[in-house]
Formats: sequence, structure tokens, C-alpha cells
Amino acid sequence: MSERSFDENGNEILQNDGMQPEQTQFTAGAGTDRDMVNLSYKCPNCTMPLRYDNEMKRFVCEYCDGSFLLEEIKDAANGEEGYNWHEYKEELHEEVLTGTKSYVCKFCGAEIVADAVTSATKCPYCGNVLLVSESLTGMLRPNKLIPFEIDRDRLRELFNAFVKTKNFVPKEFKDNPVFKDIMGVYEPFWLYDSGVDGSVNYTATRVRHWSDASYDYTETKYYEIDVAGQVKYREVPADGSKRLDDNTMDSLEPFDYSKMIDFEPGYLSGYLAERFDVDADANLERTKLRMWNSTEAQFRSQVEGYSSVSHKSSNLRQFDRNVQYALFPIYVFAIEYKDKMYNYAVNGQTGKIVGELPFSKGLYRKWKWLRIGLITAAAYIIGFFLS
Amino acid sequence: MKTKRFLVLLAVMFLLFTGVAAAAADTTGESSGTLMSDDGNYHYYSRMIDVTGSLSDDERATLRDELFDFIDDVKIDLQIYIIGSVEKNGCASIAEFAESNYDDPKYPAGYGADRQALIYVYEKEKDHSEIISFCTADAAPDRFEVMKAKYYADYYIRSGNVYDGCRGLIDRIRHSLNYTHSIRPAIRDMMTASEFVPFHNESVSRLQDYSNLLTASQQEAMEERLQHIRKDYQMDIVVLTGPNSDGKVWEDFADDFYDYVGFGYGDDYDGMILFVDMDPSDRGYTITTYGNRARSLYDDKIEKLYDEMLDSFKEGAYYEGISIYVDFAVRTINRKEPAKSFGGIARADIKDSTDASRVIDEDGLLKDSVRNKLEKQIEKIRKEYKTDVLVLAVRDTGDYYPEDYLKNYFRFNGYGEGSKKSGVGVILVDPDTQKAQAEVVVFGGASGKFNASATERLRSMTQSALGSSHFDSAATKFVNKTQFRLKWGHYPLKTSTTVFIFIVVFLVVSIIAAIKKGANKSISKAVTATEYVVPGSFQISRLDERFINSKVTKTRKPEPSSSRSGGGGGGHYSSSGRSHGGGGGRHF
Repeated sequence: MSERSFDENGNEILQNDGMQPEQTQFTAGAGTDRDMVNLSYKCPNCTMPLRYDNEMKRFVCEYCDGSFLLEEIKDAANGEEGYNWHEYKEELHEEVLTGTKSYVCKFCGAEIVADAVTSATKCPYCGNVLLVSESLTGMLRPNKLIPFEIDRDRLRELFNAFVKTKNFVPKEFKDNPVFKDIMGVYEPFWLYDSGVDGSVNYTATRVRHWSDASYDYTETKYYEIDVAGQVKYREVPADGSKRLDDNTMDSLEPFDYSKMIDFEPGYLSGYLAERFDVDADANLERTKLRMWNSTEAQFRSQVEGYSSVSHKSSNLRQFDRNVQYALFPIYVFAIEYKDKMYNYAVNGQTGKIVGELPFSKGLYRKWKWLRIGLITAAAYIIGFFLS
Repeated sequence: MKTKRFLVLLAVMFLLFTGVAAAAADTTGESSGTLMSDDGNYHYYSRMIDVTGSLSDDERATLRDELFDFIDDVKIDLQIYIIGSVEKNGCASIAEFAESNYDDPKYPAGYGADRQALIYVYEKEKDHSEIISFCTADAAPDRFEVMKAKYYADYYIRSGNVYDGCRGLIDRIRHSLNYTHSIRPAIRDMMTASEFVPFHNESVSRLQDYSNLLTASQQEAMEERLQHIRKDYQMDIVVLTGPNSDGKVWEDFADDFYDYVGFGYGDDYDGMILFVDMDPSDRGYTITTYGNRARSLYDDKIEKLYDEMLDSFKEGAYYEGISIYVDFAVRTINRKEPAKSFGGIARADIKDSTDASRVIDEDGLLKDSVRNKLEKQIEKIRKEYKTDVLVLAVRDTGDYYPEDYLKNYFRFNGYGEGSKKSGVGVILVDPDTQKAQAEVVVFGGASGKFNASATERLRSMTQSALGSSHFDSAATKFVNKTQFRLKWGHYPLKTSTTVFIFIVVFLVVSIIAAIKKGANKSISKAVTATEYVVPGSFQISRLDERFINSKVTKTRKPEPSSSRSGGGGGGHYSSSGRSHGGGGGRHF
């Protein structure tokens, strides 16, 4: 295990651990070969690699301090775009990305793509050093991407705000969290479009009460309600990676789709991106269930004016199905507390943080019994003076 | 049949004409011969005898025929005599008068071999009537029904409407024996007329036990007591028991009975009536009052009285139950009318009792050690808070309510601090060891520190400590709580209240803590996709409702609780139109 070291900004510098990444030819601009994709852009001024700055929303050159919009870079590259992904199944296919290095984690099996300037890295999922993959040389071209908007430096501030609102978290954890292995990752997501149509049956009742001199009467009328219709869903996300827990990824929603763009490899600059290992079909059932539930809720909202309504059966089907492949910005990190690692995921676009927090039984008991004592005493005193 | 009646009429007219009938003094004015009925079960002669001239010829003839119809229908000979007095007929009593007519060889009375007969006699000069029964037990009409018929008839005959009174008597007794015979609406409505003129009926028994709930000796003792109360307290205390309430609610029946029989004392007709309804489907009792004086007595603690009577009635101890009612009346009268002396001490003889004992225990209900300790504690209280404290432990309070006994004892023995004679007293009574009772009274300026609820609370705490007969605990608790109240202006909360508060707070805080703990959870599975619905894409193409069936269930409304509403606050009106108080009651 190598020693950990940090740069002047306090960011941990990841050690190569002796492993040399695959050296890949880095070419500015787009190549003429449409199967070859460049992961990064060259500075139009000095031809050095550009880095995308989340806050400036521009590509910056750390060598000549130039900054550029994507259009300006493309213009500088003589209008040659050439970043054309093949369709998945029909529309996508796997291709070699020029200027990338691919890694495989020998511990968790994650397949990671990083830009060529990344000297070495750790697996964002298990924290172990990545091995250079010799067999994997590229990644599937996504359709869409949401760029990072949250800078890594803000994570501590966001986490402090997150943990501040939580209850019974140990004070030392709140005050001095030790962040470990902060990784910015473009997480693979499948985005499903689908219409849902069909019908839902309900059993409903209307109840009426009246009385005469001797009896109280209750009349219950039973009805069968049939509701048919359709509703369309667009870009319902589902995690395309086995590495991060699906529920954790669900909890990071929502992402702001208005800022989702067509995939441009240059946005991967400075981040890792995982290759999907759960294909679109495997996630279909999970996503379909979400659509089913929402469709039934929409139909149910139309059944009004009854004393009770109970669901009887549903006959729903999907139509106009479509799937896209997208990369969403996620930070993952861990905080060690009392020999236990607490893992967190952060929506790299909105800053939403999810993850388990340590629970202080002492704080819990203190909070509870203090209030029981105070309120009981207050109630006793009030009762005493009211008696 | 009609031919026979015609012959009877001829015979009557003949006899009247010849003056033979006049020989039978004023009672024989309408007697006829001894022709027999068709079936040979009774003799034909008119049963409607009116020597007062109150009936017209037509009315008399109609009533005569109705009496023949009555006999044919129910097989009992009913005879009606409206006379001046029995003495004028040489008899000492109505019973003797009835017997003499029943056994008159010239005009034999009775139906059939057993000679079933009822003879109603109204003495106009005395405004008094009776119905004498000569029926065998199996044939006799229900005497409660006869009583109701008699009193209604009495009222109308007394008020000059002899014809309707007699028709009512015939109709009601006939209805009680043969229910297929309906009471004519005119007769029935007559009984709810509003032209009621109240009257006093002093000769009637104040105990009307038609359900025979009391033994003969109990009836005698109770009647004697009721008459005694009437004389001593100028208040009519009436007890009525019967098998039903004549289709009316208890209060209305009791009120009507009170009015139509002529109960009530003095110009205000003061009095109260306990009606015990033994109808198996509606068994219970109520008390109603007449006159403001009686109503004010009644209003005081009527619900408590109903409760006190309940156990006795449930157990069939009717004499005890009725006695509780009578005791209540006597004690309340005593209470409402303050004593002029107490324990041989007149108001003018009240002495200062600065150094007198504050713990009075003539019956030895308290331990000496407790008594001495309390005396010292009370002495300290008197000095610190200028409030006297009196503990009175007795076995019996005689005819006084315990709190009245305490009030009188406190006042007539000169207790109390300062010019206002401030103090707090408790009386612990042990009439028997099962029903020890504690009452608290606040005197003078002490009422500023012991308002009504505080006084009741003190009584309740003392009663709780007293239990069946824990006099030491009760006396100690009373003095301790009084001292605490005087010091703090409040009582300490009950242990049960404190525990209750703790449990409620514990539960509420635990729930809130669990919710706060649960709020830390930030990871959950997404189960809906509502936020990804394409705007405007939701369309309903069909919304059908199909009726399947319906079901109606009915549940019987709960019976009115055993406690009938009413109580003393409001009044109500009897069918006579007079305003009565009381009502409510208990089922048992």
C-alpha cells in the first residue's frame, strides 16, 4: 500500500502504485475516422489539453490560461465534429475512444474509462488501485450527458449542510469528518421513454345512513369502475452499473434534464466514467414498475365520489418504447468513523447527498429523556396551578 | 234481550209509580224487580242508581244499558251508586253499604253462581268513593286498572260531570277485562282535558301499592310515616306502585295520578310522588314534584338520590328503597329550613370555642395518637393561616344530612376564625361500615381559598382515604391537604395524574424521537415515475361505473340508558295542564 499524499489544495493525490497506464495517442480535435473518438480537446492557442471548468462552464487551458466554449473549440478544429456514436443495438455500438485509458478493478470488477492525462487512479467504488486493462480499449458512446456543476471543493460545504440537518449524529463526526477517496464519476444510466396504456379496474362503494325511531340503517352500494387511458413517460432513469446500489442512485434523483446535453467526450475531462454493465433490458422491469405505479395513481385520481375504492386489477402495456444511454455526474466518497466506513453519493449536478449516517445512542437518549423530564415537569406544574 | 229490558223498564216504572220502591229509602229509587236475564246468570234491574239527581233521564237510561252490556260482556255485575252519604242509608261505611246492597234479597247482585260483582259508591257529601269487589280472585279485574278507572271517574263526578265519569268508569274497567273493547275516544280524550281543577283529597292513602311490593306491615308503617310527614312538614310525600304506566311515560303517569287523585298540601299543592313501574319491559322508577317548595327540595340532589335507591330496588328491597326516598325528603326539608337550635344549643347561646377541641370523636372512631397529632397540626394551621379546621367523626347524624350536621355543629359550637368565622370542616360518618361517608364544608372567609371545585376535590380525596371505614387515614389526609391548600393555594396532583402525564409525555416524545431518527434515512427505492410524465400526455379514454348490488343493514338503536334524562332542572306539564317538576329516573 502506498502512502497517501495531498496537493496544495488538500486534494488527495492518487498514486500509481507502480502501475503505468496505457499510453494512448492524444489528438486534438476530431479524427477523420468516425470510429475514433477523442476524449479531450486541444487548446486552440497552445494545443495543450483542455479541462472543463464546472463553475465557468468553459474549457480552460492550464498552460496558457485560455478559456473556450465548446463551439469555439470546434470552430478552431475546422468544423470537424466526427464524434458520432453508433446506435446501441441499432443505434449504438462500442467503439474505441482515442485518448482514453481503460482500467479494470481487480477487486470489484468495475470497468473504468479515464482520459489519457490521468496518470493513475483508484476505483471509485471500492477504493482499490485500478489495473490497466489490456483488453478493454474504449467505451460505449452515450447519447446524453449531464455535466458536473458541483465542484469537488464544495463537497465539504455541502456535506456540512447535509449533516447539520440530521439528528443524533455524533458531534465529532459532524465537526471533523475525514473524507476519503472523493471521486467524480460519470455514472452510466439508461433513460427509458415509453407510453403506457390500458385499463384499471376498481371496486368502489357508496354508503348512505339514515334512521327511524327504532333502527339505524346503512345502505352500501357496490360498483365496479373501469378506467382506461394512456400516459407517456420520458427519460425515466435507471442505474446502468452494478457498482453503486440502485436505491442509492434512485435517491439522487432528480436530475435537471434541462441541462442535459448530447454527449461530448470532452466533458469527461478530469473525471472517471464507468462502462455500463447492466444492459437496458435488465433494467426494464424496474423502470416499468415505476411507470405502472404512476399510471395507476393517475387513473385512480379520476375515480372520485365514492366512500371507498379498492384496486381490483390492471391491464397495462407499454408502447413507443425507446432507450437512451446517458452519463450522470456523481461524486462518491467515504468518511471513516470509529473503524467503519460510511459511504456517500452526491448528485454532481444538484449537490444532493445520500448515505447512511452514524447514529449516536447517547445523543438519542439524552434528547429523549431531557424532553420527557422537562415536559413532564412543565405539565405537572401547569396541572398543579390549574387544579 | 231487548224485550226483557223493556219489561224491566215497565216494571221499574210501575214500581216507581206505585211508590213501592220509595220504601227502600234513597238507595232504592231506581231498583226494579227480579226478572232473570236470558241465560239466568243475573237479575234484571237497573245498576245505575243516582239519588242526587245529577243525571238526566236519558243519561241514566244510557248508562243503565251500558251496564247491561258490560255484564253480558265481562260476566261481572257492575253497579254504580251516586248517593249523598252512606250514613243516610244506615251504614257506617261504603263497604257496609255495598254489602247490604249486594245481599239485598229483593235485588240480588252478582253474576253467575259465584255472584261476581263490583260496586262503585260515590258519596257526594264527602266527595269520597270506593269500589268494593265481590269477585273471586280468578275473575276480578286488575285492581290497578280499577283504581285508575275509579280516580278518573271520581274526578269527573266531583266536578259535576257525572255522566262522563260513569261512562269512563264502565269503559275503562270493561277495557281492562276485555281488551277487544276499546275505550271510546271521547272517554279517552276526556282524561287529557285541560280544564283540570285541582282539589285536595285528604282521605286517600299516601301509599298506593298496587303492585304489592310491601308487606302488609310495611304498608301500614309506611302509610303512617307518610301521613306523619304530611302533618309535620306540610308536604305530601306520595308513593305509587303499579304494573304499568298506562301507556304513558313515567313522569306523565305520575303527574296525572297526583293531580286526579287530589294529592298536594296547601294552596300550592306541595308534594312529590315516587312512581315505581313494575312493567317487565320498562321496570323503573321516577320522582316528580308539584309546587315550588317541593321542586326546590327535589332539584337539590335528585340524581344522587336515584343512584342511592337503585341498589335496593335491584335487590327487591322495596321498603328500603322507598325509605331512602322518604328519608331524602325529610332531610332535605330539614336542610332547606335552617335549624333554630342544634344539640340543645340555641342561636343565642353560642359560645366562643377558641380553646375547644378541633377533632371531635365522641364515638371513638379515631385513634388517640392520631387525634392528638391532628389537634397540634390544626393549632398550627389556625395560627399560620387564620383558618379554623374541624374534624367531626360520628356514627350517625339522625335526620340530618351529614353536611348539614357539620354545618350546624360548626356554627352552634362557635368554631371559626376571625369575624367571618372562617374555617374548613369535615364530617366522617359511619352509619354502617360499608358506606362510610365524608363531607366537607367551608365556612366564612375560607371560601376564598376553597372554591366549589376545591371543596369537592378535598371531599373526594378524603372520601377516597376513608374507603369503607379508615377514619384515621381520612382525617389525616383531610388536615394535610387542607394545610397544603392553604399554603400553596393548590393541591398536589394525584399520583395517578402524575403517572398519566409521564406516560403520555413518554409516548409522545418517543414517537417524535423515532420520527427524527427516521428522518436521517436518505436512501430509498424509487417506486413511481410521476415526475417523468410528458406534460399533457395523460388521457382518459373510458371511465365506466357499473352498479353491482346494494346491501342494507339495520341495527336497533340503543335503549335509553338506565338513567332517564330529566332531573330537577326542567319542568313538565301533566295532562291536566299543571306544571310539575322532576322526572328522569332509573331502570332496575
